[in-house]
Amino acid sequence: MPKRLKRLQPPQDEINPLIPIMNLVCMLIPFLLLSAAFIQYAAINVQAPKIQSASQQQQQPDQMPLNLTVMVTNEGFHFKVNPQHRLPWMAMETDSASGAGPDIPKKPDGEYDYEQLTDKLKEIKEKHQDENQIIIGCEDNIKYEILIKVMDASRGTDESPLFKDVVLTRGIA
Amino acid sequence: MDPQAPTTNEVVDKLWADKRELKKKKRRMRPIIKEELIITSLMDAFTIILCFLLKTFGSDPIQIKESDEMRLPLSVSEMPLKPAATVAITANSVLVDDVKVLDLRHGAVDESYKRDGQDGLYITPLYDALHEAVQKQKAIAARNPAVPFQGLLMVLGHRETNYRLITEVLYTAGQAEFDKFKFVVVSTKAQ
Repeated sequence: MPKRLKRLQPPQDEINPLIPIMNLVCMLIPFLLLSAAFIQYAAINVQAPKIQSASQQQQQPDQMPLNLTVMVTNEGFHFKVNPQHRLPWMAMETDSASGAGPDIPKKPDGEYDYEQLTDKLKEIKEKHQDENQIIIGCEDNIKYEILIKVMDASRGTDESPLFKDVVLTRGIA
Repeated sequence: MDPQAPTTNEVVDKLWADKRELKKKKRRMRPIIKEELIITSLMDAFTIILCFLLKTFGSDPIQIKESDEMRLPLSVSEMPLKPAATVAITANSVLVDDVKVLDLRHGAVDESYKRDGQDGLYITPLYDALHEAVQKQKAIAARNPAVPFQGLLMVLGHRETNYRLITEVLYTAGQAEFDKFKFVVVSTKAQ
């Protein structure tokens, strides 16, 4: 006669205590994945725009020795400084309406020449080591990303900084 | 011979039947192989991913959601962000601290929103929202000297925004007592 079988105990669910934590993890991970930032953001310091007319700028050369201004137009970059510090290649006209061409025209492909802009700024920086301010202005229809690229070109690198203090202006009369 | 005694065939049949029955019982008695779910490595992976995402989630002072309407420009800048009031200029609207303030028409502010007409720089609803943000910050600074009012504004601009709109926003912010601005960009150097 066969032995009487023991009634088998039902197997205990060993993962029972882990179910709440798995719930928590499975809910948190999708939420955090959606919110996660895999892109690194940075900031660029800017000073408030100075709303000046061209005549006001000309009256202030004594207060601002260099007064380096870069205007971005649809044709390219125009430079302007205190006339005492003018370099030969500067036309000293900050808008295209005056008839003078840009100091740095666009490349043949239509892109702005940021490399040449940096080179020109390095040339100016060599003569004015103590100057850190640059005034940047654009025509109204210039895109924001172009302004950012101009700021990048004018900031230089940590090893060779150029003009880190950026002031925005509209200054086209 | 006893006529009721089982015959040889019956005995053999009974033995075979008993044997089959015994086999069935043995099958029933077979121990249940408990298949455990091995989740140790899964829990390890979950925990590591969770810690990484928690750290990533908490590291940025400003949460930025890019979309077709808001694509930040690229830059080589590596300056870190600071917690501050934000103004976001998307392709279709302007927001202050993630609250829409006004809609844009073809990337420009409608004349009706400007105090001084089409050529003016002062944007009335934007000023109101920024002024409110300033009042909040000043109220916090009055109660907590460790958080002084700095007049700092973070500007998030869609890369296609024109310079005219940027100028108007900055001018209006200046009227609302913001005098320090930081343009938020996507850092290409940090990646």
